[in-house]
Amino acid sequence: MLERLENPVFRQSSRQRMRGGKTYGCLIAYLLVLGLVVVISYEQFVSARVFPTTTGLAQVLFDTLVTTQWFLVAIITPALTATAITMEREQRTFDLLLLTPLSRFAIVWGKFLSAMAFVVVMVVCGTPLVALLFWMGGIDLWAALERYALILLSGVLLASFGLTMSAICSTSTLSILLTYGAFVSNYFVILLAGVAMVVARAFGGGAGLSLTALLPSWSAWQVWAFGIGATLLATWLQLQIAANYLLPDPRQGAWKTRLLTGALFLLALTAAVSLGRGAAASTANIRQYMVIVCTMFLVWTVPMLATGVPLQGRRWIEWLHPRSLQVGSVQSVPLFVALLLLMGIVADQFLPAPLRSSPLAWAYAAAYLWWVWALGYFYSFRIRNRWGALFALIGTLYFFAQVFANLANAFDRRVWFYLAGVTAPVELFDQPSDFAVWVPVYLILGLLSVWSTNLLERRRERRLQQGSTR
Amino acid sequence: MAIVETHHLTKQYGQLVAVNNLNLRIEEGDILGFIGPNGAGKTTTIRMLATLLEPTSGTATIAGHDVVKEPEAVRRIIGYMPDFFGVYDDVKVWEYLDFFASAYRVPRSERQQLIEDVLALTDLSHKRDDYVEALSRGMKQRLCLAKTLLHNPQVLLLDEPAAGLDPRARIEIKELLKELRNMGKTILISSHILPELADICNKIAIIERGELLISGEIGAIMRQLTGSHVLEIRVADEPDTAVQVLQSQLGDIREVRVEDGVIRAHYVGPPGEHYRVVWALAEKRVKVLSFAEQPTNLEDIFMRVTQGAVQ
Repeated sequence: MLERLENPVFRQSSRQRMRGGKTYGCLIAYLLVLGLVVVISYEQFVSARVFPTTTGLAQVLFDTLVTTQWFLVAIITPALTATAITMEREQRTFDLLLLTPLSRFAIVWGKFLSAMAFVVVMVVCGTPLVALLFWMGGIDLWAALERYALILLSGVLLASFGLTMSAICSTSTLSILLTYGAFVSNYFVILLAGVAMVVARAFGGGAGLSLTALLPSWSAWQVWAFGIGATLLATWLQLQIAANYLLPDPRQGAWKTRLLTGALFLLALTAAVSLGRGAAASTANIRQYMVIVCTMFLVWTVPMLATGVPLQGRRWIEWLHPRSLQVGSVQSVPLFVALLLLMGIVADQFLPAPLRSSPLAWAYAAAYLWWVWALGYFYSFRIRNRWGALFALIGTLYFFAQVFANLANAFDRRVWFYLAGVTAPVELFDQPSDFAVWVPVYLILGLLSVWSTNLLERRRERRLQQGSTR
Repeated sequence: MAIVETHHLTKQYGQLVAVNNLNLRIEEGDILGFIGPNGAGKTTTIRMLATLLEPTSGTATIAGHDVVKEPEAVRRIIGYMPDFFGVYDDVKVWEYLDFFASAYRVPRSERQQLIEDVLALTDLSHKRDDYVEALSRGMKQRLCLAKTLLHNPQVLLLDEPAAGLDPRARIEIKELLKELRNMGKTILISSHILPELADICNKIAIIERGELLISGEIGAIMRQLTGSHVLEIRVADEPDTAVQVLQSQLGDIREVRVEDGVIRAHYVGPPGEHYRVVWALAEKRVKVLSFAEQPTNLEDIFMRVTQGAVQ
């Protein structure tokens, strides 16, 4: 039984990692940085006489130490996994590994566990320094454990993200560039969102911004349960995507990623309902609350699902063919998204009446997502490169977002929230009639995209046929 | 019974057809030499059989399992050795084999003995505790073959196993393959170095530009192509008399050549009646020193087939 649980990839990767001198160099450098940060902070705080008691000093030093550890783990962890699979490809060891009866997920899981084992070693190596601070007193054990749990959760997410990039990319250089690129740009987006919020508040805006105000309705265990659940599901999803990319055709494993996406969406809906119900007693009142939650999730998911290798099928009726509806094809996305929106509508019924969204807002969200998908369908056929199509789609959405933002500014509407998330501009509209105007617009735009794609595709095929007969 | 079978197997990369409509059949216990120039589609075919590439169309089965629908079952039956492969750094020879043995779910209690066995078979026992990256190219090839044999596969797919090896290492690999043949394995071995296949294989398949030109038993192909066996005759005196006898008296001889004092005659008579040639020579008092049927020349077959003699 125990033998069945054995993961040879984990053993092999860990053995290789711990045998190289580089690993020990990295650990020594990490401990030196931690030690230096503690010593320098201690010197600074003591000479400035900021804290009259040692317990206060110990708390601040502990915070500094844990934050530094967090920062270092965040920087080192992606490096542990971003080359895990690309290196196997580059060293030409991968084919032999793929031919073993190990499942693709087991291979990815082994690599992930090996990276996480090293993260744990890093955290544990720092404990003598923490023990010194505990000896000074004043540090709450539970608060300390919470912070370490956060470090490990960040490590889990970052390690799985690096592994996904490593499975998708063909070279280690590209994988490292994209992993750290995404890492930095994520911080950039969060920074931008923060600046936008501050600016909005400074100008008296943000009155409708009550999402953060809603959070206090959760108790600590709810925040932790949701945080851990979402992190683990997102990690699982990323590892599954990585495993799919080890298959001859990644679409073969797409049904599993769809299932996990659905589970993550369900978790988000549960959290939204719980937050909404908790806030019902307070004055919080966000118009079209559940529609915003759904579009915020789906506006990032749909572009990823809608770009890829489309199945050949010219007429719309052919999409209903079982071959087209198989999961993983670009054509099957509208059905999947419709299912998720249906889940959103059901979740909306669990909210108190003032928080419920109007049917027109739901129709608006569906029409907007239909248009996003149709654009993805267009780019997938025209560009015929998954990543090229994805970037083109996000670029187009961002362009339209800018146009909407300018229009909204001209009409003196709140736009900060929309800009931060490039979401469907649900929050721009006050009256249901505003939504009613935009539903047909998006439907027609989407239809135009699909129609032009099919027209161009027919022409291309005709050209190819003429070329081959000549 | 066919253990490997392909039906109209095709692989296309955009407009490029790497393998086109390949119909191949390998019986149990066969050693099939898969011959073709570089870029002919040998590696693509082997990778499709090894479940590493998905065919664009057509089917391939190994021991009745479809390579697309049942890749896990196929992987248990086959042992694949790629043309180029790397090894892990900082890993010892026995650790490398132990890793693959555990990946193939060999029970822990049997692993050590199994590793010793395959090391002995590939003559690497003395390198057991060496680091893999420190082995010579020939030893790495043998190690890869040892790894391939760990799960006792029925079918071996060997892609250019002797490529880039020095003559000694090449002979060692050849001996090893003969050993595997004696063990009853079915082997598909690709190569473009023809002499290395000649005395290992009983069948050949020649592929060029993705198309299978010919396949079958070497002797049968030779007869199909030339309709003859080549007889090699050495005589004590000048060969002229012997050549005259062969050319004038026997309707069974089609073409006679003398190369470096050795007479090569193409025999087109009934199979198994070569002795009549010796009788005829003896009748004319020709002193025959040696008389033998020349082993089939793969290079000759290959040149004839790829020149378009058979389509």
